[in-house]
Amino acid sequence: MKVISYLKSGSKGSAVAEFLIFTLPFFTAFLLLITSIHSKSMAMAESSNLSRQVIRAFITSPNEQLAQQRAFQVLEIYKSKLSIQSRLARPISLEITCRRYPCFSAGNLVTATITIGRDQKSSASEYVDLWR
Amino acid sequence: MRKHLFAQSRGSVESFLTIFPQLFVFLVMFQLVFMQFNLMKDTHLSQGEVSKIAITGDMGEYERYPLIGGGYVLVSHKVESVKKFIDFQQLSFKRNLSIAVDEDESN
Repeated sequence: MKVISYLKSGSKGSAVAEFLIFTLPFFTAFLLLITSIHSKSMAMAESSNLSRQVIRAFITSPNEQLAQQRAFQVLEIYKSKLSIQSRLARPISLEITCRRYPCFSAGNLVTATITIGRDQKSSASEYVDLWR
Repeated sequence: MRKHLFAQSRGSVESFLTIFPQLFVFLVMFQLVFMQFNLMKDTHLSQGEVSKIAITGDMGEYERYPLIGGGYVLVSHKVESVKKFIDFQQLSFKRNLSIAVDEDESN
């Protein structure tokens, strides 16, 4: 009963003050949250896919000399399609590491790590075919 | 200013003063959320399509670049306008970029 009577009771206040105090901070925080989730998820999708494609180009190379070039070529083609602002705001870098060297040897595990911007990193690993 | 801010407000005009900006801000937020999720959906669908084309060799809207040592890089680059709830007479565009490696048969 008390709850019902409380709900039915009128509340006095200023519409402008209530809007400024309650609504704007909530919406601003929500906007920041949504925008950061969006940019993070897009960067994650972009980096994980790019690392997968780069490693695919690397391990399907006909020989060791071309493997690195193929990987970087995929990255350069992708970069060439981005806008100048996007390239400057979020630089993309590639690092290829191998379990043992020479990298392009049969059964070796190769990992490509793509870094987008300052903190977004994704890696993809694949084995070099055993019959190479 | 302070007097106006903390003055008590009654009636439909004051109600409108609260509801109208809230509704506007809410619609802007809703527009942003809708736009962002739509962009994410399109990005994933487009990437899936290009990856599928790289495997099956179907036809589609993409550019094909030869890769050193054999094979191709397929790139789908679409710039489309964004659907809007609130129209400010300005078109907004989204860029959708997908990439996939089409391996050479001999590799």
